[in-house]
Amino acid sequence: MVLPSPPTWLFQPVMAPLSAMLTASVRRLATERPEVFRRLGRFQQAAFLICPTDLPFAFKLTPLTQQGAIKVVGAADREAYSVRISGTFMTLLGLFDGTIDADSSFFAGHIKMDGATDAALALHNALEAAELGPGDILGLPSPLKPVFDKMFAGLYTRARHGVA
Amino acid sequence: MASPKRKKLELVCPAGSVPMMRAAVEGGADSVYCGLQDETNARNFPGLNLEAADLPAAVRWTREKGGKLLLAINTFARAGNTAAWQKAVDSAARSRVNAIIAADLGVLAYAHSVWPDLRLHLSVQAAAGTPQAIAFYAQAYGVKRVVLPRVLSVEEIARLTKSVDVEIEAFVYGGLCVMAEGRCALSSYATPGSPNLTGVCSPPESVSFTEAHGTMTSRLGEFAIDHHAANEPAGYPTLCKGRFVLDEKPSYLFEDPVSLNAMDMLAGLRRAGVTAVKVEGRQRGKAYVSRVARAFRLAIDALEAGEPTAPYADLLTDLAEGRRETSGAYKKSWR
Repeated sequence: MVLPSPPTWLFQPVMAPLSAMLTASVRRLATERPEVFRRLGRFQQAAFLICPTDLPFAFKLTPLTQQGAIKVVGAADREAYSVRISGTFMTLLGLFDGTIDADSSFFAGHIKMDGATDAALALHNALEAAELGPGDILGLPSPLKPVFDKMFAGLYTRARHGVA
Repeated sequence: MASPKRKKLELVCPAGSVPMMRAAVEGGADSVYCGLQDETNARNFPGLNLEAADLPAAVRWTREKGGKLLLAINTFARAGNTAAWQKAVDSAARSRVNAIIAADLGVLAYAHSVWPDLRLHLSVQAAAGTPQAIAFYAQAYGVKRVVLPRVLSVEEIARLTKSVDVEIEAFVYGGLCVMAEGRCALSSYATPGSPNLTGVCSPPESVSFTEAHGTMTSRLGEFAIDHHAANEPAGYPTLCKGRFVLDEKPSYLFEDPVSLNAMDMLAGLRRAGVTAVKVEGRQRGKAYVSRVARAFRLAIDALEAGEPTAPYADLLTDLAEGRRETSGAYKKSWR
């Protein structure tokens, strides 16, 4: 049974702090892993709207290295974007960590793209090459990242395969 | 002429990044092929590929794992501006890659004369499928292996390998190109990019998808090339796989959106004298290559043990373009 998505207003109080935390992580990443941003090339200027279709909010990523930001926005908010990528949260997470093949997800209609296809492709390729984990996104200290990523991978695998 | 080859089939897999290279080798690839982040490479997509500076470490890592690294410098050098291709060959040779994969006569000639110890493989982009063409490349440039165009049946390959004295590599999985490879101008007709010159077929900046009333429309440049219902499997937005209306009936005139899967042809290809089997898809990523390498590793090992490959035949169906597979020209019955 699929539960209905909770209303956006429920998340309003955490959107600003979540945006601040994710933005700090992107900027830290720009310092620690400049090659990830180099791979994005001219698409560092792009705005990526990542829309989990089963959540009431979306993420707007503007890489821009040191000025980069991730803004948490309401799913229904009208945000300008270069490309919008939509899919379930688990599918998008699988694309982020490289455990799901993007092309077959697209062939099967599990993900949808609207806007600049080249920007989406550049982001996907840059993330693949970077091998980032959830610990990088949350900005955890280096010694904690492998443990956290392993724990997260276990939970993620169970969730994707429907194991309680 | 070539003697019967009974060596184990070499599994050659794509690597669009260093993590993808590791996934391929850990999945069971014997060799990986990659390209540089420029127009010398027929998969010159944004964010993809290796930097020249990555090559020495990638070669070392692959060798430590018992594998080989091949560098694709497989586009056609531009008249009057060959520096990028020469530089790529120099980087490959200095990094001690196991071979380069090239199609252009100028690139082959440069590599053969400047780096005589550099092993040369002839790219599928050269579309060399006759004994005479292959003999020319072998004699003129010392080419050691030829990647066959995807238009020959297994019987035709068997006849070919008997009459040439180089190794033969054949595609067994991935996207298909129905045109004479290296000579297709469809992409450059519709867009500013060319697979043969700038390394991009259907460049992503010219591709768009729009959804309206439950239908997805894919466009390449100015051309609408397909409409898909929400639950209908899609293919790559290339003109050759576009759906066109002829006599009021929409159909895929050139090629259906399907992927090659010749796993059940492995025994026949080995008997035909093929040395190496190749997987297409440097743009696909590590999830793809990991699964394809593992499936073909299992099948090749089964073949070597005298066991059937059938148990592994359906492992990859969900990865296929349009969710459909074909054995392509290998079982050609229409000619």
